[in-house]
This record gives sequence, C-alpha cells and structure tokens, in this order.
Amino acid sequence: MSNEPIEERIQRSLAQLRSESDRVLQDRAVAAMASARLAPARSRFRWAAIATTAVVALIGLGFVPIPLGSAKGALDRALAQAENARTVHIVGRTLLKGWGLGWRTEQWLSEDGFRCLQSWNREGGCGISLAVPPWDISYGIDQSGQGTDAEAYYDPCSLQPLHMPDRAEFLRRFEFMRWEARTHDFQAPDFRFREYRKASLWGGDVIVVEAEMTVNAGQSEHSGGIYESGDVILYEAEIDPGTDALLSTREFKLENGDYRLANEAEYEWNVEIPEELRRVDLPPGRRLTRHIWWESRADQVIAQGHTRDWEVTLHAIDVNRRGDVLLSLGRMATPEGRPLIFNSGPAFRVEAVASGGGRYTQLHTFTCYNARHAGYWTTTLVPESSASYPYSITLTIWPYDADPNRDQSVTFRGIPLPPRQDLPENPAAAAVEVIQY
Amino acid sequence: MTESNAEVALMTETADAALLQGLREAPAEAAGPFYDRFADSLLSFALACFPTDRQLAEDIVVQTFANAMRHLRRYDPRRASLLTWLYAIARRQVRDELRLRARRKSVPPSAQTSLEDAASTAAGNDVSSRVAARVDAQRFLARLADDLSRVEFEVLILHSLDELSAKEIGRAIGRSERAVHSLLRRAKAKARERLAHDEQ
Repeated sequence: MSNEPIEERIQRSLAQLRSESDRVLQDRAVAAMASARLAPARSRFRWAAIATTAVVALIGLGFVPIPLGSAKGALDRALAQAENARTVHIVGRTLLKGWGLGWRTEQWLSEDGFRCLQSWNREGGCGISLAVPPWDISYGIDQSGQGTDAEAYYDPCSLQPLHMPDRAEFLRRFEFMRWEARTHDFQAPDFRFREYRKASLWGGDVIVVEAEMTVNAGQSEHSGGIYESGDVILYEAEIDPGTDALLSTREFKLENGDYRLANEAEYEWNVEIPEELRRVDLPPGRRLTRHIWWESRADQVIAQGHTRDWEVTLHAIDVNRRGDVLLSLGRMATPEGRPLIFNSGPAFRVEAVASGGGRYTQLHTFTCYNARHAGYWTTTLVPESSASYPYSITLTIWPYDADPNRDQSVTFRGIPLPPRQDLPENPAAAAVEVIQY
Repeated sequence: MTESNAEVALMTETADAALLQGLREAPAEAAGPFYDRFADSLLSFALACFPTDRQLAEDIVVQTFANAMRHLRRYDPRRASLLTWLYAIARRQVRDELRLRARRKSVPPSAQTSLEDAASTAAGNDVSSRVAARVDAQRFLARLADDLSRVEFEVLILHSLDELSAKEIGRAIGRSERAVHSLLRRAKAKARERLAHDEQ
C-alpha cells in the first residue's frame, strides 16, 4: 500500500469511523444473505414466457394496459382525462418507516409548466421546489418559519411541451415500471390487476383499481432502497365514474399478513392555482444563487443529427487551458422514440478524435436536466496526449447509453474547436449569479 | 508487481475461489467467512460515502451482501475479483441512496444534523476526545467529498482502501483503466490541496 499522506489520512479517518466492532451488523448481514434468494439463471426464452404470461393474465382480468387501446379500463380513462386537464393539486403523506415516515407533500401542477412542490418533514421544516419555466427554484422554510437561501436553475427541459399525466405520475407508474424492466434487462413486474365499484363515503360510487405485485430482485435493485425483493406491494386508485378523474391513490405494503398503508395522495383537477405560489419571497439577508450555464446555451446549435429514437444537438463546446473539451449536449426523443422511452437519466456516451488524430477519454459527466422526452448534459473529454493543439474534433455520440439498442449514435465531423480559456473544473456548476436579498 | 505482491494476489485468488465455492454449495456455512473477509472494506467504503450516517453505511453493507448472494450466479471471477465485484454492488447502493437524497434536496439545512452540532455536543463530555476525533474524521471526509467530483472521490477511496489496480477500480466504477489513472491523478491533486488547507 502506498504511504502517501493523503492515503494515510483517508485510512486513518476511516479506521476512526469504523472503530466500533459491531456484532449486530454481522448478524444482520448474515441473516440478509440467508434470506436472499438466488436469482434464477437467465434464459433466452424468459422474455417470451414473461410476455405471454402477462398478456394472458391481463386479458383474463379484463384489463387492457397502457398504451391506450380500443377497450379501456378505468385507469386508461383517467389517463385520457388527465391529458385534457389544465391543472392538478395533489396532497399526500407517507406513513411507513423507511419510506420517509411523517413526510407530507402538497403539489400544484399546471399545463404551462408551473409546479410547486412543498415537502414537510416531521420536525416542521419544509422544502419548496418551484418550477416557473425556464427556472427551477428550490429553497426551504425551517422550523421557526424562516426562509433559507435559494438555488435557481435554468432548466431547458421545462420549456418542452408538458404532458399532464406524466406529472401526476401515478397514472404512468405501471407503464414506467415495465419500461424500466425492459431497459435494464430485469424481470417485468407481475402486476395483478383488479377493478371494481364501491360506495363512496361522499355518496354515489367510485371505481377502485388495484394492482398488486411481488417485488422481484431487479426491481429491488432499481428501487433506490424502497423495495426489498419479495415485498408484496398493493397500489390502489379511486376514480370518479362520472368524470373519469383520478381522485386518490394509496400504496400498501404487506407485513405479517396485513396491508400497511405506506403513502396516500388526494387529487383535485382543474383547480385555480393561487397566484402567490408563483412568487419567491426570500427574507432580507438570504441569497438566491442562479445557475445560468444553459441560459446562454440552450438556444445555440453547433451541430444536429438524429438516431431512430433521438434528435441530438451539440449546443456548445468549450475548451480549458489544459485542452479538455467540455460539450453541452441535448437530446430530444423523435416521434418514433416517444412511445418507447421514459427518460430516467442515463448519460450520453462520447468518443472523440482530434484533427491531428489524437483521441480523447470521456472523463466527467456533469450537471444534467431531464424531462420525459428531453435531456441536457455537459460532459468533459480529456486529450490522451496534451502536446498538440487541434483545430477541430470529430465526435461520435450515443445519446442514451442505457438503451438496449446501443447501435444508436450520431457522428459530427470536423467541429471547430474554440480558443482555450480559463475555466473552472466544473464550469457548468460554477456558472452562477448571486442575488443578495 | 513485486514477487511478494504476486504471491499475496495468488493466495487471495485461491482463498476467494474457495469462498465462492462454499457460497455456492453451502451458503449458510459460508456466509460468516464471506462477511468476515469483506465487511471491513465495504463498511469503510460506505462510511467514506456517508461519514456522518453510520446507520446508513451499515444498511448499505447489509444490502450489498444480500444482493451479492442473490446474484452470485452472475459473478464471473475471470472479469473481476470478488472484492471488486462487491465494491461495484456497494457503489450502486450508494448511488441509489444519493439519487434518493437528491430528490429530497429541498429539505432545509436546519432539518439536518450538522457536524458542528455534533462537535459541540461532544465538547466537555467524558468521551470528548474520541468523539472529537470521529467528528474530525467525518469532517475531513465530508470536505474531501465536496472538493472532488463524485467519481474522483470514489476512485481515491477505492485506491486508498485496498490494493486494487486501476483496472480493477475501472471494473468497479465502469470506467477505462486510462480514465481511472486520470481521475486518480486529479483526485490526489485536489486532496493534497485539501490536506494542506486543513493543516494550515
């Protein structure tokens, strides 16, 4: 092991933190290993079997899943209703330990791209995320009611046409989960759907749609720690039979034979959004930091090309004193790609060759903005040899690196390189203006 | 690699192969030795990523072992050592947790516990020197993580923790060997600046 001071300091720091021996941790880890079931070996017949089973199950249950077909279940009709909605107001709370116990959220969305999401924790602090296109602003209110400093990001994605059902995300959840399984090559969720009517507490009937699934290993891995493999999760949606509007959603987790409520939300459609929600009023002494990298770049086009699923734009190219090349790239799903893709955030992959033949290594992928059909990223290319001063560069770009169809790339040849300039390590993050209140 | 290093590597490879065989044939008996062999490295990695949250670091260790057991069939010893593979799994857990936290980025700072609070709580206490040393370690790692990009930080930690080659680190983080060399060079330069700054 090297004895460099920095490594020694890291080793010493970690030894300090690790120092408490923990028998409980060993017991937990061994127990977790014992209960972890071995994932089945992959089979080339697996997808066909899963697809066939899913189709048979869904037809058997009389539920035709998204995309919309001619026969429509209540959830499909709710989705169609949401397509035409102007606004939605969603109030929710989380009740399960490990999922954010005690969090309450209130969200306002409108078709002009406005979003106000307030998340209250158990102690009374509140985080506010405000989207007033093209700006995305976040700040907080502490327990004493004082506003905190705020961050505002110029987000080109917020200028894309809105899709209300995407934003009231429950309606797309099942489609998204299937897409996620396809894209990351794990077993598709085994949704068991059921649809029935029940008397509403407010008079009349409501339609209830239930979807139950047993979480598989792939879902567990991609759930960000929320689901364990083997968990049984039940989603429930209430839909108004008269207007087809989604009224409420609940998520339950099966524990010791009981369905425990994990989170719930109530929906109101086409409500007036209070005008004051659009304003950010910071108290004196607080700072608003505006991140402006994309403000001057989103409208620039240096080169454009497309694959089957993506239109790719090189918006800007910057070169630092060392010769590192920083690309500002955008991707937009083509009409062919749109039905297939949820943009959950995979990076661009880039290969580059300079005019003199020198190659580059793609090193960092920095700040990004993602919406369903669009994404804006910056990425750094480092020359493998820094001796030359090339005048142009040829770029081969894979716009969506997680796509199973990895053959989708565009090539931009002979892109002129601008003069080298002093740039910070992460220029996109460093491009800020600060407003003192 | 020196001859003694080569011998150590061969012994490690042989021990890992035996461990792997044990896990596949008699998982209940092999789980303990499996934990003993890798727990320190994984806990160190998780603590480096979340220095102020031991509970979370332990959760990541538990989840990493469970996922490793679940996906044992996918592990190919020709591609990477067991340790490298486990680091890759742990790294995914860490990334998932960071993504989750990013979604909650608007939680005001006042809703979180600060290192300064922890330090002031420790002052004057019987165990103050031990706690102060731990807080110092937490603060150092947290600042290092702030100074470096995420991937630079991971490369530096993996490099410092075990004798992983650049190729193995590359396997763990999904980068080329060349990229790992570049990242490590930059990470060390920034870390030296941090160290010099802290020692002033």
